[in-house]
Amino acid sequence: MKFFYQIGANIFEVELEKMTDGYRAKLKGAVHEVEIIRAADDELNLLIDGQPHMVYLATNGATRLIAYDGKTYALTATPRFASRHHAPQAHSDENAIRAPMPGQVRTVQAEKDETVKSGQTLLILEAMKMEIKIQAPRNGKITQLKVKVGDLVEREQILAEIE
Amino acid sequence: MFNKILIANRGEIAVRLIRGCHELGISTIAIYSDADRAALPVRMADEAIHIGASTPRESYLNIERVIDAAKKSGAQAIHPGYGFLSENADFAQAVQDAGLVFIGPSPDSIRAMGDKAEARRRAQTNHVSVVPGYQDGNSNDDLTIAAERIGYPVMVKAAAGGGGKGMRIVATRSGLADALAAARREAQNAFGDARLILEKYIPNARHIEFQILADQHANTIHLFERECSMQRRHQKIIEETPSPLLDAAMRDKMGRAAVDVARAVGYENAGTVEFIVDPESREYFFLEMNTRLQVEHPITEATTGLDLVQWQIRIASGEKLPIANYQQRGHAIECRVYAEDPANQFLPATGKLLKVIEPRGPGIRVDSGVTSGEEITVHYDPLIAKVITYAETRDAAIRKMQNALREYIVLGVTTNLEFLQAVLAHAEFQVGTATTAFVENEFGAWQSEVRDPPMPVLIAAALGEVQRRGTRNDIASTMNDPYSPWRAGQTR
Repeated sequence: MKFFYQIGANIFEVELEKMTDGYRAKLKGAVHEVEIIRAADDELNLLIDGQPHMVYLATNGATRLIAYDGKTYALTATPRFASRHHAPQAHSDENAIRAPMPGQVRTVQAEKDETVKSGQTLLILEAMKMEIKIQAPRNGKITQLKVKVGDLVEREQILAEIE
Repeated sequence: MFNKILIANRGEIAVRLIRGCHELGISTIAIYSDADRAALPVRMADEAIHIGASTPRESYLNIERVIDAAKKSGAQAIHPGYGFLSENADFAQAVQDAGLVFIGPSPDSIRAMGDKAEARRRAQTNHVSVVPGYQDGNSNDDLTIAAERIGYPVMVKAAAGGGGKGMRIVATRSGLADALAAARREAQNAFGDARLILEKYIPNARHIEFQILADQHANTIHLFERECSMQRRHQKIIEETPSPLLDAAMRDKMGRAAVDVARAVGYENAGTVEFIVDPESREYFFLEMNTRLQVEHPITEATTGLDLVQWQIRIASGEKLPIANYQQRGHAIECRVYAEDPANQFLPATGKLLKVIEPRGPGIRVDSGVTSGEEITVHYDPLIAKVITYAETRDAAIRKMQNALREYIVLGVTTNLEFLQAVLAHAEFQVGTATTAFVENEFGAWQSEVRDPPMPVLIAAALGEVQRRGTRNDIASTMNDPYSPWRAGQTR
C-alpha cells in the first residue's frame, strides 16, 4: 500500500507492506521494520527497527495531525497522482483580501466600489481580545465586500476583493 | 461559611474556582454563554445557568444577567475570578446591593486601585516609591511639561485603563503630541475616560509582583513574590517564584511596601501589588495593584502550600488568617499555553481540540479549562491551560517543565508549546537574568523550524490510514498482545 503526504511544497511517499509480525515500511529511500506494540485511541506505540517510538494521531478531513517527540506536524494526505506543482497553501488570486486569522468582523470601514489607498483600513477583525486592521494592499477599487459586521470568519477566508 | 457560590467566569479559572468550592463542601453554580454550553466548568458545577450569547458583553460582562442568575439560583456569594467583571467596582457594588457577598475587596478599594492616578497617589502618600512620573493635571500642556521633567523615554498610560490599551511609549519630545492624542482616543473608546498619566519608561526592567492576602480583621500579609518578566507584547507567558533577582533583604523591603500599599486602601481579600525593578540599581517602584486573584497564583500556592482560592472564600465568609508569617520553599514555574500560531505572528488560532493529553507526575500541575472534543472559538481569551512545575531548585523546576511540555499533546488547535520550549531552553532564561525586553528582543522574529516530518511520523500516518480503512484484522494480526481486542478471532 502506498500513501502520499504533503507538507508545505514537499510530497512524501510511504509504502507499507504487511509482514507476519508487522509491516515493512519504505520511505525516503530506506526500508524499516515496523511492529505495533499497542494501538489505541490513535496512540501508537511502535517498534521501528527495534527502537521504540510513541506517536499520537488525529484526523481533520485530509489533514493528519501528528505529535511526536514534543513537536506537532500537519500532513495533508494526497491522492496517488497529486501533481507536484499543486501547492494547496499558495493563493494566486491577487485580488483577494484574506483574513490572516480566524475572527469576528468588528467594523467595516469601506464600501463596494469605493476607491481606497494602499494601507487604508478596510475593516477590523477581532479574535480573543486582539484587534487587527485589515488594510488595502495597494491603491484600487473595492470590487467586492464579502462580510458584514458580526460575521465570524475563518483564517484565509476572503473578506473583500480589490481591483 | 457559604452554601452556594456562583462562579462568574469561564475556562480554566472557572474550573479552579469550582474545585476550590467543592473541596470546602460548597455547591457551585456555573454560568455559560452559547459557546460554552458543553464546556468543562459547566459539566463540573452542581448547577449551570445559561446567561446569553457568546459575545462577552451579552454574557460574562453583563452585570444584570450575572446577578439575576445568582439571585435565581440561591447563591450567597459570587466569585468573579480574573478578567471579565473581577475589577469592575460597579459590579462589586451591584453584588453587594443585591444582598450577596462579592468574593474580593470592597468596591472602594477596586475603584481606588483601578484608577492609576489614584493608585500612585495612595502609594506615594504611604511612602512607597512609585515609577517616576506624573498623575496630577491632565491638560496636554501639563503633560508636556511633566514629560520634560521626567525625561524621555516616557510611557503614556490611560488612568482608567489596563490591558495595554491607551498605552504608548514615547522616545523623544517630538513624538509626544501624537502619542497623547492617540492614547486619549483609545482610552475614551476602551474605558470611557480619556485621562492620562505619565511614567518614566524603564526598558530593561524586571516585573516583580507580591501576593497580598488580607482578612476582615485587619490582618494584611504578603505571600512573597512572583517574577513575571517573561512577556510578549505585554502578555505574560512564563512566571516563577522565587525571583532569581531578589535577596532576602530586598524581598523583605518590597514585601513590606506591598503590604503598606494594600493597607493604604483598606484592602481585603486577595490582591497583587506590582513593582518594576531596575536590575542595575536594584531600585524598585510601585507600578499598580491588581484587585483580584491572578492567573499565575498557582506558583505561590506551590511554594507556600496555601490554597489561595479557598482563602479568598474563607476570608469573604469572615475567617481570620491564622498566622502572620508563612514560609516559602522550593521553586515553582508556570507556563501559559495559548491557542495561537507562532508561525502566523502569534495570531489567535481556533479549531476543535481533537486530542488533548495533559502531562502528569510529581510536581506537575495542569490548570486547564478544556478537554478533547471542545471547540476553541474567537470569543474569549487565548489561554487554554497553565502548566505549573514545582521542585527543590530552579534548575530542577525548569527541567521538570521542559519534560512536562514535551509530554503535553494538543492536536487540532495550534498552540505556543514549541515556542515555550524555545524560551525555556534559552541561556538567558536559564541564568535568570532576563528582563521584560528579553522575549521581544530574542524571539521577535522567531519561527518554528521548518522541517521534514521524521520517519516515524510518516510511518505512523500511513499506519493510521490502514486503521481507518477498517482493516482491523491487519492490526490485530501484527500485535503481540494475546489479550488485545484487536486480535482477529478474539471472543469476548
